[in-house]
Amino acid sequence: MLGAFADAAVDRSAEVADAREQLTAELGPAAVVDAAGVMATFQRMDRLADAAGLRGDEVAAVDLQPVR
Amino acid sequence: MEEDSRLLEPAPPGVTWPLPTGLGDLHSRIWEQIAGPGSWWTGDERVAMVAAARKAWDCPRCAERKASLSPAWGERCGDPESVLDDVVVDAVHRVVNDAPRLTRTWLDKLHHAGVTDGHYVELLGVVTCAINIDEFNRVLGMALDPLPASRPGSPDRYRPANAARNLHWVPTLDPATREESEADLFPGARTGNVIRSLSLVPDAMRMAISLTEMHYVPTQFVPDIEWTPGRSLDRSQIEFLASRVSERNGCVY
Repeated sequence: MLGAFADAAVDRSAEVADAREQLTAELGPAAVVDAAGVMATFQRMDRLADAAGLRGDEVAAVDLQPVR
Repeated sequence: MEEDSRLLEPAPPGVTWPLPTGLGDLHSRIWEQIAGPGSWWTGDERVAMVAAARKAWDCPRCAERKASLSPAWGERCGDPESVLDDVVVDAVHRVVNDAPRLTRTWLDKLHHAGVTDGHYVELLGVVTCAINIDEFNRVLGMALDPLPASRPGSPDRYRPANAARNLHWVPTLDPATREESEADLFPGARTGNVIRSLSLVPDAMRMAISLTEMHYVPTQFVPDIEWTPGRSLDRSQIEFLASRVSERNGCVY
């Protein structure tokens, strides 16, 4: 449920309204507000980490292995 | 979490979003801060960055570039209506839509085009904080806040002493060597590396710290996985969501 909400939110899909409604029914509106805040925070933090070059070389090396 | 009872549309029928106390004030303060001159950009330019970030989500060039094998594909994004040079608009669009494929080489070219490390870090602060507020509103079905009216004034060109390149592509402050004037950036003498990305422009970092505290976890408690903010979601649910969003964004850090 939280996963579906996160996926729809990041994908900017129309399903976000349904996911929000489901989450409201299951966990209540305060949890939806909390989830929206966390999602929005990591929309910020992920972009900041990538754009500031915060990527462990080891992680990048593993990630690129199939391409090499 | 303390609540206020602002009724916001379109919540599901019969539902009132219980927004945390102080959230509206915080977002207003951040828009106000963005609207004024920063350390490296004017208020006009900073507000234009927010406008560019909003337009980026629907940018066809970004969509084509994101689908291409190389992030170097295609022409740069630009906006003839913007006060910003196309180089800057393009940088904003890439941060919004293709951040995982930014490279140090790309950043070096940006520096050669005149966007210094201070300019770049401040751009990151403005754009990502605006994304934070906009995404919160959007996912709750609320209208985006209007763009703030910019205020005149010149950037102060403040650059903290002792900033140096370490883990990041950009210079950052170290909690152990920062000046007293930047002590508030490191509550408990620590902070996370992501937020520290902004430490070359302390006011940008302060905006990010306040948003992080409101919507996630106070920065000094981020490494303490047992610490929970006492809201409707517990820490494990919060971290699950954070991980899912980061995975979806392709962020490997």
